[in-house]
Amino acid sequence: MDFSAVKVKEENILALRSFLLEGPEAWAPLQEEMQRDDETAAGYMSLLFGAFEVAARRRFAPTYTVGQIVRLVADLRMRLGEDADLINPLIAEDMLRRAVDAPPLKAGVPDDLTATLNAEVYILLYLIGEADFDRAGLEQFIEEVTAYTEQWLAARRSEAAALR
Amino acid sequence: MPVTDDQVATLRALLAGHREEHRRLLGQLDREAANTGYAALLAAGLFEAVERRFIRDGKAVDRSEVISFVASVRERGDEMPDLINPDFAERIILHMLDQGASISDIDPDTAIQHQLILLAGLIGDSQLSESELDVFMQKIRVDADELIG
Repeated sequence: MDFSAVKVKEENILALRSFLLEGPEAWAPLQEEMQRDDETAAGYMSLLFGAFEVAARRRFAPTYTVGQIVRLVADLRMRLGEDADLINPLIAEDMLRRAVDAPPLKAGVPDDLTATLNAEVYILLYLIGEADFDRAGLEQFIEEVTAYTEQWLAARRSEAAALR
Repeated sequence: MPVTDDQVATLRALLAGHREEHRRLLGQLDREAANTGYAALLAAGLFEAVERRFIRDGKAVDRSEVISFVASVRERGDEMPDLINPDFAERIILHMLDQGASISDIDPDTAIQHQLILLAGLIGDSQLSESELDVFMQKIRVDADELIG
């Protein structure tokens, strides 16, 4: 997906707020819109990615151990019960490690887009549930996510410009 | 060829937490004999330890206990998440519990490495005394000899 032409729009932020409050069902009405073109989908996906990164950094900052990352993924999978296989533990741990700038796993991490999206969504919702935000806390989180995502997109634009 | 005293002593050293001794004894094992005897002893040991830990009232415990145990082993050091693939480890245990997991795609060396670490973890958690460990070793030696048949 090309993120270099993507900008965070108000509709993306509204969708993220609904997602954080109501879960993945809140995105069902957006399916058609997200399939309109790559750029529209990228607007939503980049903000979701930003939310995952900010939530992970908040959870494991300022210090962490890789054991804590292992335990969080295991706790999430235990909570999912019979659906534990929705989360590939190596993919989930690798994403959290990247988010907190931990050394990457040396073991082969599968390349699986569906499993990656599942991990992103379920870990994010798990962390949001754990954080138990009040209204002001949620708005502060969304503001931080928006700023982080805009910075991340600016870096992608710089990368794309350097290649031209 | 039945399990040898050397093979039993080697695995016992690992399970007693004597890593250096285990490494030394492992280096002295007859490779060809170990491929059957030591491997059978390891498999019998893990099977026994898995049954003791994960079978309660004749039934396998909930899968979440297996997930939690594997995570507990992988939490024990920064290098552990790379040494143990959680998917493989959980499937090896679930396979032994007859819970429908397949392990046919795990290559033999990887399977043995995982079995060793999981068995050491299970025995470490059960905090056996020296005499209890001796009884455990006797039991799995008999089981392994039956496996080799």
